[in-house]
Amino acid sequence: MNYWKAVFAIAKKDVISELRNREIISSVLLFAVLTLIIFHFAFTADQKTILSLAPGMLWVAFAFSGVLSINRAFISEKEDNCMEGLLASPVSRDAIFLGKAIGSIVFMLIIEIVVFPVFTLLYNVSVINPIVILVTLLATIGFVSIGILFSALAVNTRAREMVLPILFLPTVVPLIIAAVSATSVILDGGKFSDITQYMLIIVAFDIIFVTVPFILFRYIVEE
Amino acid sequence: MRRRTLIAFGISAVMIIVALVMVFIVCPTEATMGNIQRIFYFHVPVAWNAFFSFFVTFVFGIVYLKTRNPKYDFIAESSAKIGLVFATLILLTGMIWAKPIWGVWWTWDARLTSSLVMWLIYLAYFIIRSYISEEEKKYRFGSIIGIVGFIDIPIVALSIQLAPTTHPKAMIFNDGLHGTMLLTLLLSIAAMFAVYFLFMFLYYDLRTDEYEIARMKKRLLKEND
Amino acid sequence: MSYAIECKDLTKRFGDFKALKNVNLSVDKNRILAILGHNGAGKSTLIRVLSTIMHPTEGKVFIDGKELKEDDTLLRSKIGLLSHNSYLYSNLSAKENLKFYSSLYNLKDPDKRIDEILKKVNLYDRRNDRVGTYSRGMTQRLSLARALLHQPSILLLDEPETGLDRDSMELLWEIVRTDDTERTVIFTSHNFQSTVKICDEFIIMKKGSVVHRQDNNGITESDLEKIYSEVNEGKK
Repeated sequence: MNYWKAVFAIAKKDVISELRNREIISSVLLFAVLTLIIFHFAFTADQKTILSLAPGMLWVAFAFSGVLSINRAFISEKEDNCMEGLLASPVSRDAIFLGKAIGSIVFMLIIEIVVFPVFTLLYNVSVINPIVILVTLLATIGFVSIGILFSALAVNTRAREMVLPILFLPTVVPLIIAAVSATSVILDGGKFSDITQYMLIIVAFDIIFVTVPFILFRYIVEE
Repeated sequence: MRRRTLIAFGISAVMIIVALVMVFIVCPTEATMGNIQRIFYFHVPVAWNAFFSFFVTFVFGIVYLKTRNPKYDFIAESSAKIGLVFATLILLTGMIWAKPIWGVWWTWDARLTSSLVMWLIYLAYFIIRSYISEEEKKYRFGSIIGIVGFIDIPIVALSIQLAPTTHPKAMIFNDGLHGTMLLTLLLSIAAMFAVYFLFMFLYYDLRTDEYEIARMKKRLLKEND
Repeated sequence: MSYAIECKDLTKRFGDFKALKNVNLSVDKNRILAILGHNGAGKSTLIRVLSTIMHPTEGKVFIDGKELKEDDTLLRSKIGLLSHNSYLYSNLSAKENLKFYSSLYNLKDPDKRIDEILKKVNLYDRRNDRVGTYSRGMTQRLSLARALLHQPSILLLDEPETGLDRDSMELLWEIVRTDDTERTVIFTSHNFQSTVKICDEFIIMKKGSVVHRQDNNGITESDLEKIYSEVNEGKK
């Protein structure tokens, strides 16, 4: 369908364009890894403590590098002055939102793909577990989706980069709590049935915060 | 001052006096916590009102986006401002209450934490508005943050509540609360609502006057050009 | 027969400032209309409203007799827009840029059309170079290719000559006039010389209103200049 063709064209364009801008993607990845390294100096802890801190460390790394990456989503449109070109094309505003969100989800996934093995390697705690990965993937959807709405808003204010974190971080508290708790339970040897409560929160957050930005996005980009 | 403001002032003054008499004279001292428990009659109404304020901001955010009448954003913004003051009071009274009962000023208890997150979201609401120079955009983005923020509150509360908590369970409508205590609480809530409307009228009128003055100024400058 | 474009009582307000005041304008099909006026007269705002980037505060726009609404993607695909901004991504090549837009406009057989239009704007040889490495004139030509890509029946050009040298300017107008599709062209300009050469008719805008409209029946550049200053200095 034409709608999805446009959505994926926007996502693909963003991914290609940002990957070509190697400084950006490498800085974001380096930042994520640096966050993990700073933890080592912040708390010199034994193996058992590391295990209990691991979920939090992962999500601090995701949250902060996520802010950096999501902040970029509209800055590239702004730098090239392309937003109007998108708005004038026969594509609905919500399709632009979905395309942008999918593009940014791909970037979050790249960050996660790097952070998981690096964490495992540095701290000798395996966080690579199918359920942990599922939790992370599901949380990424809502995380990026609401981030994209705020990123579009932020880029239209005077203080661009500052706006996203102060608005975004408190809003995604539920996701971070649920994802961190679920990951903790699984790393402690729990089963999937032990984390259904947390999964429900994540899924509910995803559904609500994909729908709400989908509806509200048009009010941000209009003139 | 407009008439409705005076009326609201009168009603709130009377209700506050009644509520104070109930809280400090009529109401019995709670058995385990002692006198400090009386802060409950302030803490809970303030919490209800903060939530109500943000609900008003949410509703008028939607109305603004649909109608584009600045008036509705003034209502939303005024309500958010009062809500932020109330949310600050939740945190402060919560801390005052926590110190003698739990021995610490701050505890990461579920409801205090939820209130803190709510407070941060609406603080961001005002910081971000101040970063926008165009009036119309300020209203539009304010509405969007007001809508998203309010929808987020219950999810925040729900996610935090999954963690173990020391906060007293809501026991208002069980047998847990003595009859006089319940009456006192309801009166305090009503008094706080009256205060909400009083501030609402004051802020809203102030905001509209500000707007009118800015318009007149612009018009005068244009004529002198 | 319906007009290609019809504006009814178009008003655009920014706060208390009216950028457009009750603009009524109808343009027949296959005509070339020039919009003249000082900076701030509302030329760009009108173009932006016609291209659906901007909502009018009041009034309506009709394209081929149908009302233009924000979510009417079909009607929007009849419009091509060239503005001050190129709407091109500097990290992508010319070909990738056009490929991207051809997906947004849902073109059939995009590769063929892209090659064709790239040849027309003399950029075929550099199709795989990043747009970031292009000169101003090349960017503007590619931008025109982008605007014409989906063969719009209405072409809106907002000061297309800005920053172009004489040769690029002539190439631009030649392409606009000789592209195979039948189309209505509306452009804004400060250049009287090309205006008298190209347009079928012109309007002059002042403080958000259309204050003058005239057919171009062999008018000379100096005549136009005279009319322009009379309209702008004369009675309000």
